[in-house]
Amino acid sequence: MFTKAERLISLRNLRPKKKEGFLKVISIFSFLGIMLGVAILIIVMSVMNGFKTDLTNKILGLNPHVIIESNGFKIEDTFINELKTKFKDISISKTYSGEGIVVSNQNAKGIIIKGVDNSNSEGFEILKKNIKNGSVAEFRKKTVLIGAELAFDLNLKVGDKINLMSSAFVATPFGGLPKQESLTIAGVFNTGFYEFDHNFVFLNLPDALSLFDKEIYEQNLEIYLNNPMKADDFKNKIQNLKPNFFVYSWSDLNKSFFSALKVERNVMFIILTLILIVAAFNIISGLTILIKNKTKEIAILKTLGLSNNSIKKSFFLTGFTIGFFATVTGILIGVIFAFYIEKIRIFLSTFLNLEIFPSDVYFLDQLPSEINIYSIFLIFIFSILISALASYVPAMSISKMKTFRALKYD
Amino acid sequence: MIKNLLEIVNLKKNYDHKNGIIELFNNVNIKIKKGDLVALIGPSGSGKSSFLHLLGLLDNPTKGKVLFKDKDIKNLTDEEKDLVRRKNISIIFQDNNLLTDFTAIENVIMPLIIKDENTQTSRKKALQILKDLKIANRADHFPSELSGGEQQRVAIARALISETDLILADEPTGNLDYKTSEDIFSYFIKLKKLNKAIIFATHNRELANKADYKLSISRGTIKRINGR
Repeated sequence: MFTKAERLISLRNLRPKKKEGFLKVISIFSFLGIMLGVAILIIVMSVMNGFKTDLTNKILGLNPHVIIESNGFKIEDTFINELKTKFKDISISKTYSGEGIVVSNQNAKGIIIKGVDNSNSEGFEILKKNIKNGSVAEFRKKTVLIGAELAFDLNLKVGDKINLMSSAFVATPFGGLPKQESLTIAGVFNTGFYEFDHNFVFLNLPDALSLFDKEIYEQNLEIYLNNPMKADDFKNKIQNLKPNFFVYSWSDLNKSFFSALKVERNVMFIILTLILIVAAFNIISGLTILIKNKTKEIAILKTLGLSNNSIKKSFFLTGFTIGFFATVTGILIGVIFAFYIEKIRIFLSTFLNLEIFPSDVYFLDQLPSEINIYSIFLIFIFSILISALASYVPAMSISKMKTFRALKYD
Repeated sequence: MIKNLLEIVNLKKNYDHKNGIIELFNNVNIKIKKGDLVALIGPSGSGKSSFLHLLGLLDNPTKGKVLFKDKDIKNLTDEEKDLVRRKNISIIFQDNNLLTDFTAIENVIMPLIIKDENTQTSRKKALQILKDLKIANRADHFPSELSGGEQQRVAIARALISETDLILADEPTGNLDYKTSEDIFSYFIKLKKLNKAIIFATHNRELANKADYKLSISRGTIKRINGR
């Protein structure tokens, strides 16, 4: 690919002489610029990937992977059995959700009431894991599980009684009144997800159906898959099976959130690649100055029979070598930094006495990081392409140079 | 069979200048054979270097032909000219023109490196030439660490190493003492015996008289003066 002469000339160009100090500074800045650009890109992309994965896990823990709503049609046990026979490795939970109001101690708050089938543990596995006070074992008929934030807001504790009002109305001599029931708090959960802990009240499915004045066939189905990432495929299969039902996957339910995350990630990538582009300009300016300084040497090499193409290749190799090693160093630094990011965060928090990445804002206890080989490969390719382009442009200018004029004659 | 190594036919060379066209040569006809040792003489500014430039395929004539091994260089691309130079022509410049980033020995082996020849063999060969030119002890020095005479000898060594058919030398002994000049010239004689053609520009009459013949440049014309 590169001849001995091209490699040798390129190597010498990388060792500028003392009088070419300015060139050395530009080379160092080109190297540092690309290295930092690549490292920062990898760190930011790793944190974004980690952030997405952690939040996805949280969402998957809090939400079913696929929801089937009856849409006025009947969801009966025959359909559930059909699903069980047709699809292996799935877990089906019967639920019903609706909006309501919790009233207690002269306080009231709008909430989401969710009835779960306590004979199927999958539906409230997250609650079991995150019970702060009370016990899931106590979660029976006429009891509820509430979130820690809601309990704090309404000053509630295990054993307290609350009134739940649904959007269903009952006819009374005084007109229609919202249906309400009094229930006892069996447990308080704390998932760490503020919105969830603040807005959800869990009760048994028969209680929920009764509160909303619904029949058993009006229930919803929540499906948990072994691989939640295949939820959309699964959704389509069910939708084909029963076109009348409303079927949602977890990604449908959080579409705006994931879109925002994706947009943020892409914008971040574009902005950070600008660092690389700016750094690449250093290669362009450095190489341009180098070529200008070496006009006489280029002419001498041509008189020795070195072709224009070889000269171009040797100068291209000079710029590209800087870009390549800067990229590799940047990847190493980026990966090490991304790997130890939580330790670095703790160190910086302690050292600067500053709360970096507050958990109440980001819903996560620690700074997440996920090193993704595909992202690294993409960044590597991008950086290499930028370096190659930045080296190619000035190298091409050699063919337009009147190099022989640099040689002194009479 | 190739008759002449180099043939100049009706050569004309003009240079554009803001004050008008400068005519350097007009109607020059010369034939150089293998084994010719030719001295190029003429006053400063007469165009000796420019003429060597044309012979070295570094410049194109305004009119006329430069035939190298019977091939008109006008029809060659830049890449082809580079190839012809690499294989057939060595040039020794008036002011050495060494590569400043390379040591003396690296400068000498550069033509062989360009030809992609073995580095170790090339180094051995270069060292021998540097020894012959009495500068082997400076092999690992950079040009900036050498005197003018030493630089000139390195430049000569670089031209000699690739054993090309044609050696163009622009005042090769200008910076050298009498003894070294004699040594260089004896080297040229050796090359002549190896059937190499050498054209050297010089102001040194004594050396010029030792050539097979002289080419005298004056007022745009070149005359052949038979010597020895």
